[in-house]
Amino acid sequence: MVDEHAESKQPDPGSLPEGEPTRKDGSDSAFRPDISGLEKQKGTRQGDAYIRVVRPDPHVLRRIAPGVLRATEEVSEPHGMLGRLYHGLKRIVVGRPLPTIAEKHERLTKIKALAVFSSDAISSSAYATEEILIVLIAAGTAALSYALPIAFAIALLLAIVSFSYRQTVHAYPHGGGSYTVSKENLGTKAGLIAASALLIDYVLTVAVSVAAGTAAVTSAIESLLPYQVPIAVGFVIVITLINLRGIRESGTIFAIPTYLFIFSLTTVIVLGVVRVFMGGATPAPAHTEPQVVEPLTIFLLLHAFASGSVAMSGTEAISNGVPAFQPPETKNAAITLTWMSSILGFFFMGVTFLAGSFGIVPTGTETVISQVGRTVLGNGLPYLVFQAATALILVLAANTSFADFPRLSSILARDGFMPRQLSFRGDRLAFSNGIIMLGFIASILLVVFGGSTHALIPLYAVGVFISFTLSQSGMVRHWWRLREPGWRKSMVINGLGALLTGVVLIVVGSVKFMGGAWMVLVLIPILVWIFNMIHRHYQQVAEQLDPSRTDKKEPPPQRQVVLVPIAEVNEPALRALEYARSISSHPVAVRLIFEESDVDAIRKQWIRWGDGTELVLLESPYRSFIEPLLAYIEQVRQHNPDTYVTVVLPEFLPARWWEHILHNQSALRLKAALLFLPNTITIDVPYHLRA
Amino acid sequence: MKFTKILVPLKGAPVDAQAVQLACQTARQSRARVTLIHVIEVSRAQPLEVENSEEIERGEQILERAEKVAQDHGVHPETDLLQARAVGPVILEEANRRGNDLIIMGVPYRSPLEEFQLGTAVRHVLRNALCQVWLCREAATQPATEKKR
Repeated sequence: MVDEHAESKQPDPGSLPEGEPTRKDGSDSAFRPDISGLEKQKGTRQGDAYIRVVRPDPHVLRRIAPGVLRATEEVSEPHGMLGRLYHGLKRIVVGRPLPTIAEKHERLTKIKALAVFSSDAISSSAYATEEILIVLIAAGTAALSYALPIAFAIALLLAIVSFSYRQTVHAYPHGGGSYTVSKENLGTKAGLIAASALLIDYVLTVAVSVAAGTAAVTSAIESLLPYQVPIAVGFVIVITLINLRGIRESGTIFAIPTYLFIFSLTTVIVLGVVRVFMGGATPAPAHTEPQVVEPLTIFLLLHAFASGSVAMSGTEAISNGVPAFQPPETKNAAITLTWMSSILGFFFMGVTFLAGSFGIVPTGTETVISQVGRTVLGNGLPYLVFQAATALILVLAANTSFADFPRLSSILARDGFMPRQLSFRGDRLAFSNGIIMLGFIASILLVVFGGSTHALIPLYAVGVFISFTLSQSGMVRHWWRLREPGWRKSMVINGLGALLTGVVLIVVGSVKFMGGAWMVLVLIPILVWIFNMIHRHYQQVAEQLDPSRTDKKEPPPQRQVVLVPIAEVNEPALRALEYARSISSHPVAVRLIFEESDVDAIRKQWIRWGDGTELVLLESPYRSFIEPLLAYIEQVRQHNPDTYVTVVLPEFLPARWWEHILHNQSALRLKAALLFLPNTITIDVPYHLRA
Repeated sequence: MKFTKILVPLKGAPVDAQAVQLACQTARQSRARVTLIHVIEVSRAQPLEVENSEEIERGEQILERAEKVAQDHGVHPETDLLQARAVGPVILEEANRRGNDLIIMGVPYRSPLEEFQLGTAVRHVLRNALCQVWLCREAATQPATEKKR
């Protein structure tokens, strides 16, 4: 065994001053930016000396390698009472922050992807039929028989458009949203038009879906009818919060209602159709024959078609999200797209057929799909389950937009067309700012339009068809440019899609123009203009910030003058002077005087306290404080063009927040003003008061 | 028994976690403060103030792991990384300086084939500490064969 005491009598080679960090090279008390080093500790006996390894407080920072520090979660936690309360609430609602490395691409199976990407498209079968009937009813009940052919035309259009989108999926395996496809093939302007149309539509999808979901609730429970708007806004808030928690968890949440709706509506349609063909079609509850207010014209039929085409919204969602699929991504996405349009087509045709067979007429209080459900299932539990499923899928359909709007805004922000803040991921790795923005705008729309689906629908669909047309036209251009094998066939398919959606766009735009589509058509150019303004700004900033640019405005200053403005001789002012002397051999104190008679007294006082520092007296006969100082600093700057003007500001800080109110904030105002003077650097020397 | 300040020296063995747990339970009963330390031993061949970044990193990891164990048991310990020629005397120096009234040390189980021996540091602390010392030996993985003396 080694005798420790015998050993410890030997002096250690090399010695460190106690309590002072050293460098490896032995130079004393050098600043170690990564907060490391060794500190010698004296032992009780000679030779018992040991070393304390200097490390940052492990609760705030950890040194993970020389020169690399990592902030802990604790650092981001606020310290004030209000801040902590907000933080705690946010934790409960949104969840713990996830570190950046937790970001992984969760690949979706076809089953899950159908739920995530199609709830918007499939759920529109819950209100599309009603929108057709509402238009047709103006020409009397007889006109309702046109609903089925119109639904058929829309379903056909849907089939062509989905077929056309399958091409996009194959051509853009990394996600071919309308913005990407249009921008790449038709130019930035087309891309921005598509993007604005889509953004408007995403907001409308949230508003319309939530309004329709609320209608499903009020159809089943009529007493809730007066609370439509608060219920709808409440739904938006809930979806916003779910999305703030992150998309991975929401994927699972949305699968259940989607499949519940698919299952229950399929049951209703199958049972209903069986009943119709068995001859057991019960006529709908007696309605009073509505007044004929409009003759049955081509325009009315086109109007009904335009209103029904809301069913098409959300068809492009899958082509945006190809990378989210499990491999082989394009094949799986194409298959899911076919599933989605088949289900939507079947539901839309089924509901329209049953509504016609049962003689269902839209009423103000109950939705058409609710009437169909009630007729087939009766008033019992199955009907309530069906209504609940409808309400759920409609509310959650808004989720498609909550995934797409933030993603599109983040892409636009990345390309410099929208504020940078939209491209940041939040605590939970979701694009929080985009999510909050969408929830906010959609809530405003719901309040303004009184939570009514019918009031919102005219605004809708125009944007969808603009983005369809642009993206399909972009695909035509894509095939023409690349001429890959089979390009002719693909070009024809996309060309047909573009042509049809273009025609529908004109129809929808013109028949809905007065009803509200004009708002969208006015808003799109405004948005494009804003995007371009933002882009120009970012471009200018990037050009000026680039360190490698050659046309630098002027060489940076080589000298500096240091000014210390003081209001009176006191501790903070002397502290600031001391600091100024540590950075300059010749600092200048600038003191404001309000009366000429003070000059002598102040000079005398300065001899005692100024420690030889040069003093400039600045008389301000009008008792203003900031302006004379600014004028003086500006003059110094002008007479010394190649000089940095460093302003060292003494500032005392009260211990409690409310005590700030008792002092005027002249230092703060001066700092704000100095920020705008070029080559002027402001240094704050704080003096902390005790409580 | 009431304690106010508990010191837990860590050596980087699995038994550390048990010692920390014991310290935390005791600390919660007596509202005591817990300090976790790890001592890097510097051989005579090197100067005492040698800065071995690998050893420092290992020490940081030992402390971080133990700190996590403590936090899981509702205790927020202080941690310190030290460097010395011999571990035992430093533990006592720190205990004196900090005014600790209890030292808890983990003792790893040694295979029954070896001569059972407490480490130098443990023996030094047991022999010289002014405050109470608790040892926390980990459970044996196999029954020890009784050695004839």
